[in-house]
Amino acid sequence: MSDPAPVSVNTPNVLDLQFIKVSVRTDFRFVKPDNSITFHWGKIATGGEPIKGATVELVGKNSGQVHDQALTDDQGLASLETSQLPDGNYTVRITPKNSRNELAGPRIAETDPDPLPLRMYHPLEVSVTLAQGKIDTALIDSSVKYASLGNRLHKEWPPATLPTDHLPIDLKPIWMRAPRRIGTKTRHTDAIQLFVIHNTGADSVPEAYIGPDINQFIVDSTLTIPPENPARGQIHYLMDFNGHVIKFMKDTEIAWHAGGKWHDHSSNDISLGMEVVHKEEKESPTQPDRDHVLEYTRDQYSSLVDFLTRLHDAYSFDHTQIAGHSDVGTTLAAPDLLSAGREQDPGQIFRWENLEGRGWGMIPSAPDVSLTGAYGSIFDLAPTIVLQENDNDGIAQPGNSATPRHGGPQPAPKHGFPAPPPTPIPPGTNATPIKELQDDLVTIGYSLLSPTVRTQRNKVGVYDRFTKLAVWAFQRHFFSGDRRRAKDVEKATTGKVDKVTAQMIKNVLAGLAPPSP
Amino acid sequence: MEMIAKQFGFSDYNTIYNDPNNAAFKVLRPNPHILYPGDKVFIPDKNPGDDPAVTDKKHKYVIQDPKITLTLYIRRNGEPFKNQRYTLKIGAKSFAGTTGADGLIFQKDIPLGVALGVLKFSSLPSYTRNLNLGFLHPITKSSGVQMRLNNLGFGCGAPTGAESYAYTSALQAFQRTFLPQNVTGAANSDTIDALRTEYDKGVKS
Repeated sequence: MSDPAPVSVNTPNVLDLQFIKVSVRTDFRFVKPDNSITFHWGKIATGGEPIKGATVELVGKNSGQVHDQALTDDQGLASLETSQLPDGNYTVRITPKNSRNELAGPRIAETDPDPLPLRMYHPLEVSVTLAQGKIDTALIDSSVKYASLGNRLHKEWPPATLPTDHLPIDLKPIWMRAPRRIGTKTRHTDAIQLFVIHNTGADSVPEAYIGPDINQFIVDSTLTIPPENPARGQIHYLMDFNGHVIKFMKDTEIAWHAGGKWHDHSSNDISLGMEVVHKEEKESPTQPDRDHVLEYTRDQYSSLVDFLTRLHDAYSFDHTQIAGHSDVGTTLAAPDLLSAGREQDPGQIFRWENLEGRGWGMIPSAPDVSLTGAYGSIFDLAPTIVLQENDNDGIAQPGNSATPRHGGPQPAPKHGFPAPPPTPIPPGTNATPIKELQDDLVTIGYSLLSPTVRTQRNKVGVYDRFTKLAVWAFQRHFFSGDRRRAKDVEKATTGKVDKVTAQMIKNVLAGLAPPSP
Repeated sequence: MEMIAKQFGFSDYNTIYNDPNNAAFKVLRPNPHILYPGDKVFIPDKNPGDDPAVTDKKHKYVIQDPKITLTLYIRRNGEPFKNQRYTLKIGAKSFAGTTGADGLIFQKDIPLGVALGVLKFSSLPSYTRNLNLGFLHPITKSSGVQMRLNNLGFGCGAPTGAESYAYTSALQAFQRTFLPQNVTGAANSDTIDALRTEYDKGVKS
């Protein structure tokens, strides 16, 4: 593409052809910015993935003139000629096949015809300065999350000695086609009413494979998966440590990502799901200092806010309806609060306050609303009382003939003094704090429907296992981040309602439905 | 000069170059193959052939086409581009071959008066470069220095002969490689000598 070379005849000439090599690959590692955590994408960890057939152009920074262009080969490599080019500023422009000038979100894939491509990318511009036809400096704008310099094949970037003839680019897709499950249902965009945040989890630091969960999002993506295969999870979006988002499925496709219920709807039917890359949380009440290792990154929070804004522009769902996976899992039939099957993500490390501060999510009212009259004024009458499993309002109904009991089993009489009354509520007031608690949880969105008889609410006014699970999920959400530290860490997720929890429930309710002026 | 000779119907450019009227020009352009736009040369009268041939007999005349050659040392990022198959198309003629261990392409008998050559390498990725034959300016001209620097891989942009930042930094880069004690960015005589050694293999122009 260079200009013709002027040469002489009958006397010698030297033609030194100058090239730079651009390698365009996707490095499927997730590296926390402080390098404390590196995750491999298990299925495609080895060597990353070359991006073939991408157009790579060398463009004059000021002139806009295309000096050379080439397509990447099977290794993701392209050679660009720099012969004759004066030292100065240039742009290397990379445009893969299936490029979109959009980030992952509602404008990607939704209106594309089938079959959707396996990958889509955002085009990339790299600013380079050339010296003697070689790369002296290279720079990707810091706002770009989908690409970086260097990749696992070329760890030496930036090279010790400059300039160089090699520019390695790590370009992440914005779309990776998920395998299609047979019978995947689609929905109208009006059905999208909830955003559910997961984390990927992975156990060992500093280097680990995320998986096998993460493999499911793309593995054998040319195949269709039988619906009865429970080992195959789905998700709409995944967010890297630096906030880059990859989309896997259309928003109008119902993904099998959460299970459970929210506002008594199947959460999958009404939600979009996002996996946020993160280490599996092992809470350490005695070592809260370890939290910094587990902290989600600043980029993840700011990208989440940007992403939610893009979603909201497209689908106009209620800005409060952002939930964690643990929030919607209250009807799942796992036996224990912290058993393996119980959904715990995104966990108490996740700082919901960071979203709330930008107007997203269920924002508790501040200052506190008055507890007077709430829950039969039980927390005014007995400020230390803790509502808990097996407490009972004594509401007469089939299968419940218990007398009211609030605050757990009573201690046996000692030294001849009689036991305290089973409930501090004065007789005759007919207060039903457990029922009120259940109504509040349901109003917020937690489901108390029976996991076995899915249309049926559990017993009214009885603090059963499912009430406990909903309280536990509520506590994971609202006593997270700094609010977790403000509360007693060890008592944050008890599944019991103390005065602090009761106050938070009422504050959340007030935040969801602000009183009319 | 070959082109001029052909244009004016001379079979040998030396007829023009060695004409006594061009003595001063010979000093200015010691290499008859490398001229500069605006150069003035004296075109002598053609000396009609004085052929003492007997009439009524058949005589065979061979028109002597002047022989010209093309010599290119091809490098890639500074390294000899050796053992590479190439084709070179000049006018209607096509040459094919393999570069030598020093990246050398030496082509005899290239057609006279064709300005465009197309050099192709079939190695992956395939590569094509156009050549402007006979367009190299004398090394004593700034544009000639710029052309040589460009061809050597010290890019300085279009060889207009004008001073520019690109020209200076290309000179500096060349000096860093060949005259590390003399990195001035100026086309001084040491630099011209080094460039002549490197590019023209010492041939004067």
